[in-house]
Amino acid sequence: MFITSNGFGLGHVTRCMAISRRLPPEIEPIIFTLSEALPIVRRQGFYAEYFASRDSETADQWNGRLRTRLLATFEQYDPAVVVFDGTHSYRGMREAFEEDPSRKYVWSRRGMWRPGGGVSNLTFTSYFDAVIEPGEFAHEVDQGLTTQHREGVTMVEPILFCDQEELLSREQAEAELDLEPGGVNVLIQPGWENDQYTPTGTRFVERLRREGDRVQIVVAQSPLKSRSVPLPAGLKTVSTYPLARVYRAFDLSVSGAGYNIFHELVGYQVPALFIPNAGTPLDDQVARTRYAQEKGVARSWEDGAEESLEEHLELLLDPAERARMRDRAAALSFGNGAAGAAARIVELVEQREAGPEDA
Amino acid sequence: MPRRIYLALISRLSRKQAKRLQSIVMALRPRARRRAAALAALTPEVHLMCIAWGVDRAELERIRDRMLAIGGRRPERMLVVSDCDALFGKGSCHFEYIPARAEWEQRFDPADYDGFVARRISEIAVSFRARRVVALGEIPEPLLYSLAGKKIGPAEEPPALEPPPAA
Repeated sequence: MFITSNGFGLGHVTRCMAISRRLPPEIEPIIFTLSEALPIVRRQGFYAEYFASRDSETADQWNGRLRTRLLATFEQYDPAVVVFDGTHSYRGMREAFEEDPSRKYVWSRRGMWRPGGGVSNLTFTSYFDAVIEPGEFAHEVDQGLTTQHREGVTMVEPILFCDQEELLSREQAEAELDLEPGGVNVLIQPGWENDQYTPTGTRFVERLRREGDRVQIVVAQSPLKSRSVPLPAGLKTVSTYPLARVYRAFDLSVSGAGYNIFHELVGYQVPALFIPNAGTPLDDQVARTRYAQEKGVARSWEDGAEESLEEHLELLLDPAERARMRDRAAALSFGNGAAGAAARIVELVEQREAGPEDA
Repeated sequence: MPRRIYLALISRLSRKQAKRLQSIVMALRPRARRRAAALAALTPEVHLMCIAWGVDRAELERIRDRMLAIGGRRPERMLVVSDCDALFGKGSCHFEYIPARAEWEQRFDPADYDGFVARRISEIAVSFRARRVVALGEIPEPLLYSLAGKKIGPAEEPPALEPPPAA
């Protein structure tokens, strides 16, 4: 059973589904989500349970209900392994873990925390039997606390929903998106968690429209109902899931820099201009995108200044520079860690089935 | 122990030691504080719980709007339970989703579904302390019996309806 916290976008559920779809057929995954992405999870063919994020209740009330609901859910489905994907483990969840010690509890905890952040998050590691850490392209510059807490940690490659061979070819993806062949196709996805989605997106659209008809712009809209935002008129939009399936249609992307979107673009070698969100509580997006620029696989637009934007876009609109970025990304490519994470979960299932004396 | 010291201490211990310390701290919490926490953990009463079964997204949204109209400024006193996944989002009434029969039957014993739903609905009613329950849509008969307080096991057939008395 996977428990996913709400988060701002689809990161947590996407990681859980990426691992789930690589489990052997005899293991039935259940996704217990706090995210409004429930319909997306179901459309991907997973069995899902839903528990609404806290709204009008007090923290005590909500945690109390979460604890009761989790204990009932454990009793109903008897999961051998429970994987939590999120940065902060909820009190109600920890209490349920403590009350039912018969299962293996796993924390899917990505790294790249902002330096010094997340001290209290780490104190709850003791509630978990194992930690799976989805890999990070920029791990060399990771200064976060998780780098010092390695006990019980299994590190896998970055976790992606799709494998390379699941992506549509450029021709197929262009046809699906109704794009004219031969153009320079740009995907704009400034990050659904970002309050600046509309102003930033609009700014890029206006700038890229000055390039004339050769540039075809597509704006990614969140498949989550509540995250729909108004955009300039006459734009082509895409709201498919998983969006990565159509990435090969694009010559470049202007994009937010959350874990999933970043690793998808770098992993699938799509040249990108990343806009890191410096205001996230834990995710060190600035360090991540800066590293990508240093390595020559993408550009990082941190200062929001018009001049630097021009400089970045000039580079990204140059076909030779894009080809260099793709080559460097290919040279530094990584595998998909979803299979490794699934293998670790299978081990834990087997340990639990074997009983405590063999574990 | 001040929280800051506690957190700093726990982050330096091994997992096993940290677990032991956490349980000691929990046990040492004064009884009055524990009782206050238990009281605070009680979910406020929900005045109306509506079970909307077998409805589509549009119908569920209509039901939500009517519930909100009834609930006025207190949407937190309204609860909708459904096998449809059209979620309500923040600021609306409470929503509980129960997996639909088709999804259950793909993975688990079909005979257990009615029992599963009856159990879930009863747990939901208890955890929200629902005062009144109404059921709309295509409610399966065993679930109706269960709502009426008649217990039915997963594999058990619902009792046959008695014929009306002869005139």
